[in-house]
Amino acid sequence: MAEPVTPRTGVIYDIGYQHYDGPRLGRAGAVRALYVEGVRSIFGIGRGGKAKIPPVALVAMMVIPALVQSAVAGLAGNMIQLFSHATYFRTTVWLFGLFCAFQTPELITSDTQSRVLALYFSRAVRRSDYVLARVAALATSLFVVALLPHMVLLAGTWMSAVEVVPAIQTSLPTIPRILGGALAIAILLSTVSITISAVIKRRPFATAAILAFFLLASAFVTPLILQRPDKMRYLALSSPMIVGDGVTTWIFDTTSVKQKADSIAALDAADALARPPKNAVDSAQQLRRRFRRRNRTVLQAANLPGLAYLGTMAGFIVIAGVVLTLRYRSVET
Amino acid sequence: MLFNPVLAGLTLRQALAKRRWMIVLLLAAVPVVMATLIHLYNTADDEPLQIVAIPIMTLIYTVIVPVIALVLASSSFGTEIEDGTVIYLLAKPISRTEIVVTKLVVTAIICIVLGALSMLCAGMSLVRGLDPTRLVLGLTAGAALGAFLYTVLFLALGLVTKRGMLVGLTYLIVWEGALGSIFQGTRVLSVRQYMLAVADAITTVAPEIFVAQLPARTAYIMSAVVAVAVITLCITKLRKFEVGQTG
Amino acid sequence: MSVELAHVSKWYGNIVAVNDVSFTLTPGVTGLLGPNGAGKSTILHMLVGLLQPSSGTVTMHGVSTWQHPEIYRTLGFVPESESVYAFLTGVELVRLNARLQQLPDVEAAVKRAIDLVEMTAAQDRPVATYSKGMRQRIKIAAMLVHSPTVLLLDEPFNGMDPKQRLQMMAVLRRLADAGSTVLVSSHILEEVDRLADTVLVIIGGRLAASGTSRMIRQLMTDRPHTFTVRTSDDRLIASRLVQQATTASVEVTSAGLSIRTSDLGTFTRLLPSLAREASVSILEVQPADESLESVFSYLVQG
Repeated sequence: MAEPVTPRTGVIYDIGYQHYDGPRLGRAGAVRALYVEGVRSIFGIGRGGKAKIPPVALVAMMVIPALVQSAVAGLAGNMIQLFSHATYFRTTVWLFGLFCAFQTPELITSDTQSRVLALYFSRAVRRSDYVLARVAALATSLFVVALLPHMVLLAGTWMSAVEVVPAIQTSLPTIPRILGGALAIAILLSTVSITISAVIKRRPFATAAILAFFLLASAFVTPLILQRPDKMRYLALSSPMIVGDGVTTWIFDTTSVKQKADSIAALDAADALARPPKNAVDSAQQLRRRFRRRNRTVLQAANLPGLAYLGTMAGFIVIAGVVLTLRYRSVET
Repeated sequence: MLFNPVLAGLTLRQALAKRRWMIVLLLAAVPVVMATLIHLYNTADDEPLQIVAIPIMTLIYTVIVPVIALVLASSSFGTEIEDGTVIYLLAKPISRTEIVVTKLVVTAIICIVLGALSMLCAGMSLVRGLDPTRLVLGLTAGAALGAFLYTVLFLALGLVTKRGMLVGLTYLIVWEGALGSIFQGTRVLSVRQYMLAVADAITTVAPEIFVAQLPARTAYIMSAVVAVAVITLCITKLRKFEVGQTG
Repeated sequence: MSVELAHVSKWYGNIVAVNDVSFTLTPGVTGLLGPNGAGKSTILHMLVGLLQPSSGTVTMHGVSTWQHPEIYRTLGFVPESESVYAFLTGVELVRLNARLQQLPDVEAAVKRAIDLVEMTAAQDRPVATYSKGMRQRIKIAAMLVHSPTVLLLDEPFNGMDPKQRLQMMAVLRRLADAGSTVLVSSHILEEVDRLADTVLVIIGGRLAASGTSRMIRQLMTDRPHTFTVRTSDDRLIASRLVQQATTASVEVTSAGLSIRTSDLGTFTRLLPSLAREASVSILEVQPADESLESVFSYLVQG
C-alpha cells in the first residue's frame, strides 16, 4: 500500500550572493577579450620572464639586419643594398616560421591542454568567434612584426637621402607593396600554424609539428623541384614557406617569378644540347655549370605564375577553415 | 641490475603511444620517399646522383635524426614529469641508475634503428658510382652515432627542464646550425660534427659531398665524454628529483 | 616498523612550508589533520622520500628515507594527484606496479589488491574512462599491491562516495589491526575522527596538537566560544551576563552583543533563563566562530 507523498515546495534562499544587474559587454566584449589575451600570450606579456624570450629574440633577429643596414647607411652616407624590401621577406620568412612554431602553441594548444575551452564556450562566445579572435590576434601580431624591419629600412633610406622629400616620394609606391606582402605572410602563416596547433594536444608536440611541416615541406620539395622542374613544379604549392615567398615576390615584382625562370630555362635547353664530357676537365666544367644552375631559387625552377601562389594561399585558408570547424565542434570537459 | 625489462616494456609502450609513432615513422620515411622519387625520375644524362644526394643526406643529418630523437627522448621523461606519473617509477625499489639506463637503451635503440634505416634506404637508392657501399655505410654509421648521442642529450633535457622540446629545438637551430657555421670553437661540442667526422673516417668521400670539420679521433673522444657526462648528469638529477606540491 | 620525523623543516626560498615538526609513527592508524595549505602533503612527501627536508631528518628504522629506494619494498604511498598512465587498463596498472616491485607471485598479488578495493568488475577498462573515485581506488590498489607494512595516503577519500569511503576505511582499519603503520591525511574532521587512533593537527606548517581524536575533539570544543546576540534590551542582558563567572567578555556593538564564554554548555542554559528573569526577548543568537579554520587557529594560539 503506497503512502501518499507529501508535496514539498522548494525555496531558494537568498543568502547574500551578489547579483549583477548592470550592463554586460556581450559577445563583442568577449571577442575583444579573447583577442587581447591572445596578443598577450603571443608576446609573453604577463607570463613571466622566460615566456618573453622566444618572441623577443625572434623579433630582434628579424629587425637587427634592417637596423644594421640603416645604421651603416647613416654613417656611410649611402645605402648599401644588402636587402631590398623584396628580398627581406625571403630572408625572414623562416624566422616567421620559427615565431609561429614557438608561439602559436602558447596561443592555441595551451587552451586545449589546460581544458579551458569548455569554460570559454559556455559563455557568450561562439566557436567561430573564438577561432577568428585567435587568428586575428596572431595575424595582426605577425603583420606588425613583419612591418617593423621595413619601417626601419624606410626610415634609413629617408634619413640618409640627400633630399628627404623626394626620397619619400620615390618610396611611396613600395609602401602598399610592403603592406600587401606583410599581410599575405601574416594571414598565410597564422592560419596554417593555428590549424596545426588546434589538432595537437600538447604544446611541445605542436611546436615540433609546425616546424616539421614548414621545414619538411620545403626541404622535401626543393631538391625534387630543382632536380626535375618540369614534372615536380606543382609541388612548390605544398609548402607554406615557398607559397609565402612566391606571393611576396609576386607582389613586389609581378614579372620576376616567371621571367627569370624563362632565362634559366634557356640555359637548360642549351645544356641539353651539350655533348657528353670528353675528358676530366670538361666533366668538371659541366659539374660546375650545373652547380651554378643549382643556385637558382625554387621559385625560378618551378616557373609558376604569381596567381598560382595567391590561389594556393586561398586554398590553405579554406582548408584551415574546414579543419578548424570540425575540430572545435566537440570540446572535452 | 642495470636494465629493467618491465620498465623497458613500459617505455616502449609510451614511445609507441597514439600519434607519436606516426610522426616519427613519417619523419624517417620522408628521405626514403624523396630518394625513391628522384631515383625513379632520374635519367642517364641528368646530374650525377652524388650531387642530388647532398640535400637528402643533409636533411637526414640535420633534421630527421635529431628530430626523431627529440620527439622520443624529450618526452620520455618530459611527459612523465608533466603528467605526474613519474611517481610510479620513483616510489619503487629501483635504483635511479637503472631507470635512466633502461629508458636510454630503449629509446636509443628505436632512434638508431629508424635513423640508420632511413639513411640506408635513402642512400642505397641514390648513390651509384662513387664507391657506393662504403659511402652509404659511413653515412649510416654517422647517423647511428648521432641518433645515440641526440637521444642521450634530449633525455637529459626532458629531465632537467620543463620546456625540453623547445630548448632542444633552439640547440639544434642556434648552436649546431647558425653558431656552428660562424664560430669554429663550437664545433667541438656539436653532435652534428661528430656524425660527419665518423662518416668521413669510415668512407672515402669526395670533398663535394661534405667536409668534416673535426678529426675523427676528436669526434670519438668527445662523443664518449659527452655521453658519459650527460648520462651521469641524468642519474644525479633523478636522484635529487623532488616530487612535491606546496601545501 | 616505526617512522620518525625529527625537527623537520622545509622551506622554498622565503616560504616556510613545514616548520620544525617532530613525531613518531607507530603501528595503527594515525590521522594527519589540517586545513588546505597547512603542509600535510609536504610532510607526507618528505616521509616517503620524495622531497628532501631543508633541515631535520626523516628515518624509517634508522635509515633516512631520502635517496634510499630500498625503503619502497615495505613502504607504500598513495599520492593525491590524479596522474595515471592513461593508456593502461586498471589491471595492467596494478600488474605493472607489482612487476616493478619484483613480487614473487604477481598475479595473486594483483588479484588480491584489486579485490581489496572492489575494482574487479572494472579492471579491464582503460583507466582514462574511470570516474574520480574509481581512479582513487585503482591507485590505492596499485600502490599497495606489494603489501607494505607502512602505508601513507594523501587525502585518499577524495572523490569517493560515502559507501566507498566506509569500505576503504574498513580496509585500512583491518590492515592497521594486522600490524601495519598507516598514516592518512585529510582536512575533514569526521574522516579522521572515525578512522584514526592518533591525530596530528598541522596548521601553518607547525604541529599544533597531537593526541587521540577524543582529546582533540575536547580541545576543540572546550575552547572559548563567541556569540552574537540581539535582544530587546541589550545593555540589561549585558549587565546580567557580566555577573556570571563563565562569561569572559561582553561587547556592546551596533549589531548586538558580542559575548565570549568559556563554557558552552552553561551559557546555552544561562542565556534564556537570564532573559526570562529580566523580561527581555531574545531576537537572534548566532555563533561567530564555528568554522574549522577558527578552531584550528585557536589551537595554534593555545
